[in-house]
This record gives sequence, C-alpha cells and structure tokens, in this order.
Amino acid sequence: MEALQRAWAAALVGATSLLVACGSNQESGWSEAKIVEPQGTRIGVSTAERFGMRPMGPVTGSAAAPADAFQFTLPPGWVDLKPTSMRLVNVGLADDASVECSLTLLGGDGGGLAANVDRWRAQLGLGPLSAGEHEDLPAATLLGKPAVRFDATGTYTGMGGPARENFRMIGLLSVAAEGSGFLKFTGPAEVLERESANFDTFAASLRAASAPSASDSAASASAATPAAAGAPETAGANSRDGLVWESPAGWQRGPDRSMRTVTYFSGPGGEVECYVAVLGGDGGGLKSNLDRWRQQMGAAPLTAAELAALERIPSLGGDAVLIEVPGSYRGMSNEQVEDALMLGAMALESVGGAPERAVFVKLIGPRNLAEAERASFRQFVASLGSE
Amino acid sequence: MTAVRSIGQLLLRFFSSFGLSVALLVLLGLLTFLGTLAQVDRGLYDVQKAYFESLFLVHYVGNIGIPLPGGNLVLGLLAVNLLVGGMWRLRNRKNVGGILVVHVGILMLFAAGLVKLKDSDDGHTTLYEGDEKAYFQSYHVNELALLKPQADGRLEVRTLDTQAFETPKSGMPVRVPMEGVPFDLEVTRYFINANVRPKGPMFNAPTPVVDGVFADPLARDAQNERNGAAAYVDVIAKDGTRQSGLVWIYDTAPWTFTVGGETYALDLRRKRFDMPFRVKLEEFRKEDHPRTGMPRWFSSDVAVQKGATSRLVTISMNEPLREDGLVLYQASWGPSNARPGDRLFSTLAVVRNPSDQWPLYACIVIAVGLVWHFGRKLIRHLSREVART
Repeated sequence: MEALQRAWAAALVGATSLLVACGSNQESGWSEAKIVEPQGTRIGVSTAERFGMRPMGPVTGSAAAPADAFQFTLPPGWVDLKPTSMRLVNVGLADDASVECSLTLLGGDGGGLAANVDRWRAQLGLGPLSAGEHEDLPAATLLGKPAVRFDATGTYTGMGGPARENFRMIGLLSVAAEGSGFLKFTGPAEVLERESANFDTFAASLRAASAPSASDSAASASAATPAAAGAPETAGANSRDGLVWESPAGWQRGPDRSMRTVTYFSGPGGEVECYVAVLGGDGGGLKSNLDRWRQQMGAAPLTAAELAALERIPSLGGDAVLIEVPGSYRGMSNEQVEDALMLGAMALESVGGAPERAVFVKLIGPRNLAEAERASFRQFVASLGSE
Repeated sequence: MTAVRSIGQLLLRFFSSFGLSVALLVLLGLLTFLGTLAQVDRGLYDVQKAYFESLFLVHYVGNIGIPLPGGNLVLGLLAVNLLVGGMWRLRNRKNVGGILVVHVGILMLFAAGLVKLKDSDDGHTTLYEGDEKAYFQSYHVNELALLKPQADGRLEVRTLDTQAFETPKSGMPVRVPMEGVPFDLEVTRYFINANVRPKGPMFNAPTPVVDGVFADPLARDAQNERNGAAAYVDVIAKDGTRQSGLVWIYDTAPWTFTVGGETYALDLRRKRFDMPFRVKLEEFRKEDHPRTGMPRWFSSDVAVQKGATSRLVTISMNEPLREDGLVLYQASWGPSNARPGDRLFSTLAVVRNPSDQWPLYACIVIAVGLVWHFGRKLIRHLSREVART
C-alpha cells in the first residue's frame, strides 16, 4: 500500500511538472528565419492582381508619370514616399505620418481655379470664397507656371477618414486649360506653422526631371509646365472586350473592375469616374436601365415623351442615347454625394436585327466637375466602336 | 504550528472532498450547457476560448453578467481533487488498488486534454490535383510573414503571430522592431475582419487608400474562420523613409517592397505549420448518391514524399493518414458548384497532437482498474457464497 501511495505522490509531482512545462509554452516575437520553397508564393505581384482585380490591359500612352519624373530638394526632416497613380510626387515628414504633401497634375483645367479652391476649403469644413476673395488669393509659381497660394485651417476630412480638427492646408494651384498642377500640403496646424517655410523651399525646388532647375536659367519658367512635366496622358486608341475607343486627354485609367470593360478617373483629385460596361442582348432594355440610373440620382422614371426626346449621337455603328441626371447620387455600395451629376449613354449593337449586346457608359461626379467633363464624355462615347 | 497544521488539514479535506467533486462536475455541466447556448451568438471558436479555455468568464443573461469559473480552472481543480483525494481519502483503506488505477486512468485523460490544449496544432491543407505542399495552415490563427527572395528562387521566411499587434488598446500604431533587416515595421491599423475594395470617386474611404484600394472594416463574424483580417503596415527604413502597404488574409500574393536595393515581401496569412513530409494530391475521387450532388463517399489518393522516397496513400473519411506525429483526415472538397470535368480540390484536416493516443491508453488503464476492483469483489462474493453453501 505504501508503494502505491509513493507512486501516487510521484504522479502528483509529474502532473505539476507537466502543468508548469505546458504553461511556459509562450510564443513571442519573430520566429527564426528559415529557407523554404516558394510553394506558390509569388513576389512582385501588382496591387490589382493581389486583390483579385483583373490586370490592366495595354494602354496607349503613359498612364502615370514615372517615379523619377520630378526632381526636388527635400527639406530637413522630410521623407520621400512612394508615388501613387494620382500623387506623382508624394512626400511627408519623418516624424509625423499625418502630414502629407503631394503633387497632382491634370491635362485640363480640372473644373477651374475657383471650383478647386472651394473644394479644398470644403475639405476643411469651410464655405466657398466670394468672387472678390478668389481674386485676392496671393500669386505664386508652381513648376514655372503662374499659380495661386492657398492657406486655410479647419476640420480636415480630405478624401476620407475621420475628421481631424485644427488641420491646416497650404497649397499651390496652377490651373490652365492646357494642363493644371496642384501641390497640396496638409497636417496639424502647429506642425505646418513650423514647416511652412520648408514647404515654400520644397515647392520652389520642384521641377520636371527633364527641365533645368530654377536656378539654372530663366528658361525654366516655360519648360516645366504641368503638361510637359509628365501630366497623365492616356489619350489614344484602346481596345478590350471587342470594343475600341479613344480615351480623352486628361482622363486617368483606373484599376480594372469586375463587370467593367474600362474605368477612367478625372477631376483634380480623381473625383469623377467614368466606366464602360457591356451586357448581352438588350441588357434589360433602354428604359429600365435609364430609370435605374435616374433612381440612383433620386429622380423619377422617364415618361415616354421624355424618353423619346433624349439626345442621340453616333456611336458603335449606330446611335447612343444620352442622358443627364443631376441630383443626389446613391450608388450600389451605398456611397452618396449630395450635389452630383450623372452623364449616361447606352448603345445597342445588333446582328440581323436582334440586339447582340448593350454597351453602357456612365460618368458620375460632383456636379461642377462632371459638367466640366461633358465634352470629353460625348467625345468618348462617339469614339466607341467594335473591333 | 498547530494553526498551520489545522489550515493544512482544512485544505487537504477541502481538496479531497466528494463535495468539491460534485460541485466541480455540476459546474462542468453548467459550462457545457451555457457554452452550447452561447455558440448561437458567438460561434464555436470564440465560445471554446471563453468558456472552456479560460480561468474565469462572465456569462450574460440579458444585461446581467454572471461570473463563472472557466473550463481550465474547473478541470484543473478536478484534477487536483482526484490526485489529493486518491492520496488522502484512500490512504488507510485496504484493497483499493483497482480504484487507484482507475484514478490514474482518469488523470491520464486530464493530462491528454492539457497537452492537447497547450501543445497541439490543427489546421488543414487544401490541394488541387497535382498540387503538393509541405505545410498545413490554421483555421483561426493569423501570422505576418516577412519574405526575402533568395538567389536560388527559394524564400527566407520569418513569421510573427498577429497577437503581437492585433489588439492595440490605445488605437495607436504598433511598432515592430526588426533584427537583421534595414527597416522596422509599424502596424498602423489592424482589422480582425475586413474587405478590401477599390476606392471610387463618389465615396469617402473609411481608411487610408493605398494604390487605389482600401480596407473596409466589417463586423466580427461569429464563425471565426470566416473573418478575413487586414492590416496597414508601414515599412520604415533607417533613414526614416516610409512605405505603406495593405495586406489581407485573402490577397493572392504578398505585398512586395524594396529597401536598400533589396526586395522583401509581407504576407498576412493563416499561420502555417511545417510538415516533415510533402503531400501531393494525385487524384481526388468521389461518388454521388444517384441523381444528387451529394457525395456518398470521397477520398484522396496522395503521394507522401519524404526525402527521395514516395509512397501512395488513400485518405478517406474514416481512414486518416498517421505519419510522423501528424494525422491527416479527409475533411471536405470543392468547389461545391463544380460542373462535371471541373478541376476539384481536396481539403485534408491536419492535427499534430502529442497526446493523440493517450485517451485510448487511459481507457485501457481505467478498464484494467475496474476489472481489478470489481473482479476482486466478484471473487470475494463468490467465495462467500461457496463457503455458505
């Protein structure tokens, strides 16, 4: 019996040891490096492909300026960040990630100077300027072109994310029909107060890589225009899904999306979106599709008379029906814009009298910016054809 | 001294008492009942962690919170109760050898559960015909993997459990110091469940947009394996230069970046466990019930490759493969909407559990103890009856 009890005590000790051993099995930090076979892991894959979007097709022209299209002198404490499709120059502060400074270029006037100034003010929760106040904006230079200097403080919402109070925005806007440039510097007001002079130094140093520096010669003023400095140009012939088209100047081709043949962005910050979608047959019919679009804008369905009165322009070997719907836009992902404008076009391709496919072109954006793209939209629709 | 002895006696009586055994067994029953109910709202994984792999928990009935001991605490106390009870209560009794053996068997069951809890891995490996893998991946646990391509095409990999940064209570970015590479990492945002969407012009993204896409946070799904984590990660070079990237459980490839002329990649993925052999799916077979898409049976013919040797094994629903401490079960297949002739995949559930066979051994020990104890009683009873007649 004593032997059994001793065995029992040993079991108690053993179980306690097991508990302690298992309890100490904690993992923390990085594992040791090891070499493995790739086993299907692919390196260097594009963002679009990583997230299940179709890889972009060939585009005539350059979709974005190369990363080294600009030269500049970074002030102390500033860091050069990776450019994006819209931010051709993207810099910030090493010690404060909330501070952003970026350069955007557009092929056209981007909706005009006043609209862009007021849009930036709206991002700070401020109301639009009066005509007189617009005229009083201080003059500046951006990439050798005349510009105005913007400087305001408010609650910043930007292109998304939470509202940030007491944010300041300093910017240079060079707006012209042949090309526009926007240099925007945002961050906490106290930080920008400290960095304001650095921003001016940075802006003065900014130039196209192919252009001489400002200190080289006075000729820099005519050489480094936004258009010459690598403004995104996608103009040219394109094709996909059996369609061909001419993309308007200043439109930026976006990542491919399911159900869409092509997507473009325009506007100073890419706020205007235009895309082409193709459905088989009659695509559900003209009226039902146009009414669906009108419903997205909060508008009532078309009457027969209104439908008959819609403008038609040549497209795809036939006619495309055009529609314009102002209103409050609510998309399929519940996104909403109060004062928006939708430009739409629908064209049918028929074989032997029967509709073979329906082509939809839809442009949507803030009203003032979408209106500025009306001519480009019509040109785009008219350029559509079959391969 | 006497007081100490009396406290010791008191504790000994408490931990060896039948009353404690009954109370703990009732609590176990209650936890099982409440945990089962809670699965309706919280899902299996969450409830397993909260009710059965915990020391304490709060069960809510409406808005009223009821504090309860967790499964780990109850089972731990029950194990102590069994041990101390076996030593103390039976110390002066004769002919209890069989009962003690039964106690040992039950304690082996506890030990098996403890080892399973603390030192086991489970997951799955999913293979299309012709695919081969030397790892399986967790259903629930995520990891961040830093990959560096090598000249020979292989990858240098180091991993970090996402527990290291997934719950920053302050909401502030979590800096992840690195060694051996010329940069640090900062996880600026982490979401247990998110979708990644392309940014359109007509709506504001709730999170930063990176290369045209952003993470759209979603509510945590009760079915934990459905949660697709996403993280924004900044790579901070030694000179302060930052690169921002978005990684997602469901992305098809890691985020690639370059620092100091060297290429690296970051991958947020389900935690991977190496297997000491490779498994290649040679053929997946299934037979459906007549005129239905419901399989009557399905199985996988796999080649198990260890070094230069390879052998063919069939894994079916009740015939797992046991190899080098791993057990591979036939779990499922897909795609569920596959048409005739489509390529199919097979999912093999993989478990590494050092105590895999312990419950079997424990049951044998318990059976021996019971036969010993009741056999002795039977013999004594029969002896008495024979003597009486």
